[in-house]
Amino acid sequence: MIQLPNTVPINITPCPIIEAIFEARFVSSQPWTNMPGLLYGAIRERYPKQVKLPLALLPEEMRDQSPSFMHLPLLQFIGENFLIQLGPRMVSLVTKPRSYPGWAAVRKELEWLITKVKEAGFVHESERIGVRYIDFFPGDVLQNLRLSMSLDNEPLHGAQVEFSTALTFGKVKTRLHITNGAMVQPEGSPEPEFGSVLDLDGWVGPSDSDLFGHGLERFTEVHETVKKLFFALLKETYLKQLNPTYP
Amino acid sequence: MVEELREPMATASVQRVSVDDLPVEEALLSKLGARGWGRVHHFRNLYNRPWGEKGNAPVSPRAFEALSLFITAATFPEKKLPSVFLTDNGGLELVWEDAAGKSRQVEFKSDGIEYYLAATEEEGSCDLDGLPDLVRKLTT
Repeated sequence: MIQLPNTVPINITPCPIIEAIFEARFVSSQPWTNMPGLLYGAIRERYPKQVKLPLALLPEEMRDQSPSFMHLPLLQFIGENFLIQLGPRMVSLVTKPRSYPGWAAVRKELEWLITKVKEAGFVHESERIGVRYIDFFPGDVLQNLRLSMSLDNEPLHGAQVEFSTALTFGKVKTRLHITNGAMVQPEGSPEPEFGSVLDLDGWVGPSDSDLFGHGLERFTEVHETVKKLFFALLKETYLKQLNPTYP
Repeated sequence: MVEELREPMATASVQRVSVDDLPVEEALLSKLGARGWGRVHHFRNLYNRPWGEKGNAPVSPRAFEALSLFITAATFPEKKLPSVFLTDNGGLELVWEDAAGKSRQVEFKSDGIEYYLAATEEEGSCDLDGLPDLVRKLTT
């Protein structure tokens, strides 16, 4: 099992974070049709614009048949610095693409959002509190990670690779997904950029996910674990190239 | 969060287990049998919103977690597969017979666990921290 470092940088430059998602899953005592109105009433001052996501166009009967749709968002509320996503079993705060504002700003907005979700009154019981960071690196990042993949004892250099695994750190479970075959659209450029994605998702389960009791503390703990795992994955020589700033 | 929509292994005959769910899925299948495993999935996936004429509570995630932990740790008498029921308050109830054919029941609720042993007419309750002791008490 990989050891998580005690001290990690405050930031690295350039910031590789494409998107960060802070999600609470729940079961609701309200039908889905009531939930957007209840939430919108509470958040509209900061998130005035509402967008239907493609999955919302599928009939409810069809969505209900597939467990994989269960925790996906159907609506997006757009604010100045963040998005809020809402589905029948989840609500999440999402940073705008390539505009990560730092954990302090995220924590502040999460604190506000938890209050508003409580006010909206549709969460019957929390199921999961999760934090997901999607990081992009130009080129093939695999050789810079403390993780290797081989085929018949030969390292998989030059091949397109996707890798997923689940790791547990105390009460925090994580899913690590890595690919060296990703493409992102840089802001203001018509040409996509090719490279690698580190997708880290961490969460605590139902017994540790009392959103209105200790939700913010859990988000903070999971964020810490995901952040430590991210830095634990990078080789020291590579981390030095990313201009780390330590506290 | 749309990777589930383009899952390459999603075919009619292959279902990939969600991340970190494998030990639970294996325990549910081996200890409840295919029928019991199917019932748990049915409750979990189709009763996750108010249901029934009275708008009964959706399946409690905490109850499901406690049930999963209990079943993973428990050993049941041979050829006496437990049955699973959904309660009106969103709890999950597990019922089986001990070696003498007497009923044992555990109800996993959002706020705790209750049990009943017909052989001694004993009933009681505990929280998730007391689950290891409860497993020892009821399944040995």
